[in-house]
Amino acid sequence: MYQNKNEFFTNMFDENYAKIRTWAYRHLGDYEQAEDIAQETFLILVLRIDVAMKHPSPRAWLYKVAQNLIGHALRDRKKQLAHIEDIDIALCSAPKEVDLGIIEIFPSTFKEMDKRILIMHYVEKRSVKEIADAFGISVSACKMRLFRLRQELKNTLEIM
Amino acid sequence: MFRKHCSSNPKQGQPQRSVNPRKHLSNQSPAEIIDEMETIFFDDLSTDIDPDLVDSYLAQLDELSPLAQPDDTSTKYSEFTQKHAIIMRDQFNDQVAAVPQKPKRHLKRIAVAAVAVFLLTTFASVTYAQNPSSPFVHWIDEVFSFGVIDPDNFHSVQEALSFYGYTDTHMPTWLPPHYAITNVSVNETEISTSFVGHYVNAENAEDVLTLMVKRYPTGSNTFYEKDATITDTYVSGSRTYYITQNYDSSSIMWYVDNFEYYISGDLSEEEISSIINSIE
Repeated sequence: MYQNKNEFFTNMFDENYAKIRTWAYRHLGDYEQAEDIAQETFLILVLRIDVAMKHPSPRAWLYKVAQNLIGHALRDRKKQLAHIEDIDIALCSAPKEVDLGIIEIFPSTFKEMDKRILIMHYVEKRSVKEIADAFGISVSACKMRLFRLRQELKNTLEIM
Repeated sequence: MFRKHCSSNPKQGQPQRSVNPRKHLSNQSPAEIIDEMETIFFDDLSTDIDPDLVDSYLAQLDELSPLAQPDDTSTKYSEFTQKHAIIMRDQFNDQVAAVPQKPKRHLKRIAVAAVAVFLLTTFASVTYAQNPSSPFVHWIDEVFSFGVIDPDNFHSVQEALSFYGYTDTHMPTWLPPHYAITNVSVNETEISTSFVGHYVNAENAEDVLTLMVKRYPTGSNTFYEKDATITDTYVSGSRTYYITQNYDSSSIMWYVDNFEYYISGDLSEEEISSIINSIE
């Protein structure tokens, strides 16, 4: 039982921060969003530290907070995906026709992982599930990532 | 490592059931495991959660598809503690109180007594031509209190501003009523003095609102970007309000006479409008 809030918080952060961030990333497939969720989880811990310290299992309390934040992010994304499914074909048919030349039109802002995802999907013709498996993220996270990348690619093509 | 596994959706309010998951998970791909996790942990957010079960799934995923994530917990801890230094100082400055809670029925009596004393005090103030805002009674927009203001324990941002002698400010007189103030902090630096109020939604502790007033002795050094980060501006008289949006969070900013004002929280358009319209 911790008597000191600082000690309690430091231990909770040390033991759980990376796990919660990884948990969020596996579902959302977005490092920045996963980082935000981990940060928000611990900010709530700061604000409700008295409650957490008195909880029979502070770790379960913390994971519950993270579960809520990840769960709400997943629901938001599912709503977005529902719209995306409708407009995806019209919006993204052009990049699908692009073959090996796709590598030359990548924006400089694309990360290596982003480039690899696009190449796997459009050049190597891998399915979304195969890519999700390769990167250890969920299928819906992979779909969302592909959609965002295609949007960026489309914007780049329009400028060119 | 894999001591627990949920084989079916748990009942509401109960933790996931535990059985041995090793055989079950070893036949699945990473995406299938994540799908199963979504079903177990996120289909019904009202269920209790078993952290060991989450960890066992994550460990299995790490075996199948390791992530190249940096071991940066200590760095992140430093960043976090610097970013939230004020809140942490306020929250951690006292030890966990082992004081037993008083029965709630006493609150009603205290409230009745407080109202009676307040009415008597106000009556006395008027009768004897005393200023009701004297140190004896502090009547401000959010709370009222009796006694001398304690600079280590302000009850509202207005109270803190008044204590520092800033009475001619342009604060909102309305905030969404479901937010209750939890703490107020003041941070003085060579460049500015910040007065920060933290509010929490009484029905959802994860929903927080921040009200910050910064006073710059020689003018603001804050720059507002007029690009994609500003989603809207609202002009009222000679004053411009900047409204930004980030995920579920909205922010309103305005600047008057060396005071910079900032409100951030999960606010609807109507609430933003009501806040702005209430600014004095």
